Amino acid sequence: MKELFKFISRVGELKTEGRRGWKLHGIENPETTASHIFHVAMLVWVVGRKKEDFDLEKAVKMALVHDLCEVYSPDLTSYDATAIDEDKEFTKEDVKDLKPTKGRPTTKQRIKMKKVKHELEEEAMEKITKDLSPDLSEEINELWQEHEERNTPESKLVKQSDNIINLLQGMEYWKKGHKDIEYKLWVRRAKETIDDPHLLEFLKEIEESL
Amino acid sequence: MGKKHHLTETGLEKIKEELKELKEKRKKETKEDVPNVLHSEDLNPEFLDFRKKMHLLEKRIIKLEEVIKNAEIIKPPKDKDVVALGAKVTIKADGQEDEFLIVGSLEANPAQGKISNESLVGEKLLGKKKGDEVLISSKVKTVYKIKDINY
Repeated sequence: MKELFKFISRVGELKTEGRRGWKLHGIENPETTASHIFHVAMLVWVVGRKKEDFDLEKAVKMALVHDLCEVYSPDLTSYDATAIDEDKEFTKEDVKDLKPTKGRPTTKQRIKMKKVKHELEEEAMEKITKDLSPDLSEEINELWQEHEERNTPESKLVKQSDNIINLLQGMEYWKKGHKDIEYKLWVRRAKETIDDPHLLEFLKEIEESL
Repeated sequence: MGKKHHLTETGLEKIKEELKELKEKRKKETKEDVPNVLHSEDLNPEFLDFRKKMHLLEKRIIKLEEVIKNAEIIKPPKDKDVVALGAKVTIKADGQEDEFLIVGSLEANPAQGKISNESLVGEKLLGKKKGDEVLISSKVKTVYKIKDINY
């Protein structure tokens, strides 16, 4: 029980951890990682509940754990990926030297970032769950790995919901006056990544509201 | 005849691998201690959880078997100047060049550059040729210029 208490206390730190992407835009008191997780989990639930051949409980749990690693791992954003040199090797050691750059990363930059981010986050997940009971630790890590691999209907919905919630939050900040958020690039990316029919409707609604 | 699932060879191999793992998992779960059906006079909640878990596992196995049965390997089209499933497309949009592989929804992974043919961009690129300009039209407009197509 002591280990579970420590885990819950540590995870609670995400309630006060402002998301780095918004901080880079100079947003004061930005959305925290925990509030982002809540929003993603809510979207997954309401969209996933009518899906066939779909494990809703697993999907909601997956949404809850998808950013848990940020207790220990750096909150790397697409602006960090944009700063990666496409033609050079990129390793964990290079992360600290990245200077976030506006714009959008290319596929090559995204792939390089994803590899390193995955390594860092895997280490963080190991650290967060190491003292938990084996069955709980295994469940959390399996959910996180499945989300990372994006092979199942549940992991695809969670990732696309993550994209929609980011877009929704970004557009809310944009409407509130943070005009340095390049909304056109954000919407464009969503049109490349989203293929779930319900989330395509959400995307349309977000775009209409601009 | 079920719905055709368009997959690359690698994509189909990955699905076969997942099916193998799930079948091993099913075997392991049913070999280990299965919870008792009854707890005192009531149904044991652990048994209900186990039954639900096995039911979902079984459904996923059936789904993957159906995908494998109805899989159609993506082959390059006769006209290689046209974007079709399996095409590696170099585009230029907003002054920036990028490259996507157009795949079916099952294989899509945008972080790896694999764009679904059911996404708004993937859908619009299909059937277009090198040099074409594709307008993704709605309130936010983007033009994708097709620079190259490879298979």
